[in-house]
Amino acid sequence: MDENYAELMPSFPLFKGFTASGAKRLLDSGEIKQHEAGAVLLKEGDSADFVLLVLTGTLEVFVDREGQHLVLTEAEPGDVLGELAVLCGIPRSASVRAKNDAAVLEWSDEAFRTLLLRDPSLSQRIFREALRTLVEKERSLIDSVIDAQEEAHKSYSADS
Amino acid sequence: MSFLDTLIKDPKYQQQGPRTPEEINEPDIIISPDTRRENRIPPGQTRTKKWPVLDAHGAPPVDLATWKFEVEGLVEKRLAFSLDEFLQLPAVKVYSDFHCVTRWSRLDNIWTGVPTREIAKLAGVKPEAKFVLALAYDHGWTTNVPVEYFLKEDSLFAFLHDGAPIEPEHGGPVRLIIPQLYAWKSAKWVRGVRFLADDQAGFWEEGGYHMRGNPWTGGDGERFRW
Repeated sequence: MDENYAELMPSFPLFKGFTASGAKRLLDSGEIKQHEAGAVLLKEGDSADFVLLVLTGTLEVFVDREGQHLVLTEAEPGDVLGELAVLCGIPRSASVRAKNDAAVLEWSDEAFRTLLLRDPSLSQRIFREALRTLVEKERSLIDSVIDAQEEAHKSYSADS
Repeated sequence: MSFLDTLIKDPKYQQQGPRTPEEINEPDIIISPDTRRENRIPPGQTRTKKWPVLDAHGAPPVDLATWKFEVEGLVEKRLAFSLDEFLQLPAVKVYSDFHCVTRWSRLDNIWTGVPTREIAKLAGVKPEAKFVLALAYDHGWTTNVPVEYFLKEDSLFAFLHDGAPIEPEHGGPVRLIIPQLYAWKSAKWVRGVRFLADDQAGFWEEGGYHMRGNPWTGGDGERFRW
């Protein structure tokens, strides 16, 4: 089974240029876990002591607010989740559950930090991806604020 | 003791600018051609005066009494040397610069050791050998090198750096030095070489690092395959 994942990983953009044995080494540095649809992999507010790489299936990143289930994004094979909370030493900012049956590679905090310290190429790629995600979130937040202001303005204009 | 004092007392800390090849007063020393460049720092690199340590697993335990260097693959004659035998082989001195893929360059190094050409001559490398896989003592670590770079005049299996034995953290007792490629190709704790017809990714190359690793080409050097 590991061999299949090792063959699969180089097709993820994050691992472009990896050989199957290079990917196998990454798999060996973590633990492969299978999750059934609906299983919760991590919860908002939990302390962060592992990082996830989606191997197969889709994961849903969500928060529950005032009875509302808010899906923030979906993670597909090749996506890394939970790395910022681990690196910053902060609690999980959202929860993650399996949308369908999924396999993930789980790196412990220590294993993930070791990977980044030892392999400058991989750390550059992971940081680039993490920062890109943050920048996208920031843009989306700005768009939401602008939309909200426009709505408020329209509503104010309509009232007067 | 302040950090600065610690640094200045480090014998490997370079307190002077790099010498020019003409200033190297060593008879018969081989001058690595890249030290003759007007700008010796490849694109995207910065000079360090220190001697940083980077490796995949940390220095492995190497028992000097049982240390062995083997030459295998596409050769007329397989070779095996003990450390004593290896140190008896004809040695040369090379003046060269050292460029790490993590963007630091340490200029002005003098390496003493056995030329790779000597090893190739003793083993009788077959004409179909186009690549070399360097084998190291740390957990089966390897790196692949095109044979034409392995056999450059300034490539050697070094056992002295600036006149002193190479410390374990820097790859001693013997490490490969290929000045014309990024330094990860200069395998630390080398235990042998295998001559190959086809290129075969080594440890870092399996993780997307460049198969050749020339610091002077490709705009930013041949660092990665992504």
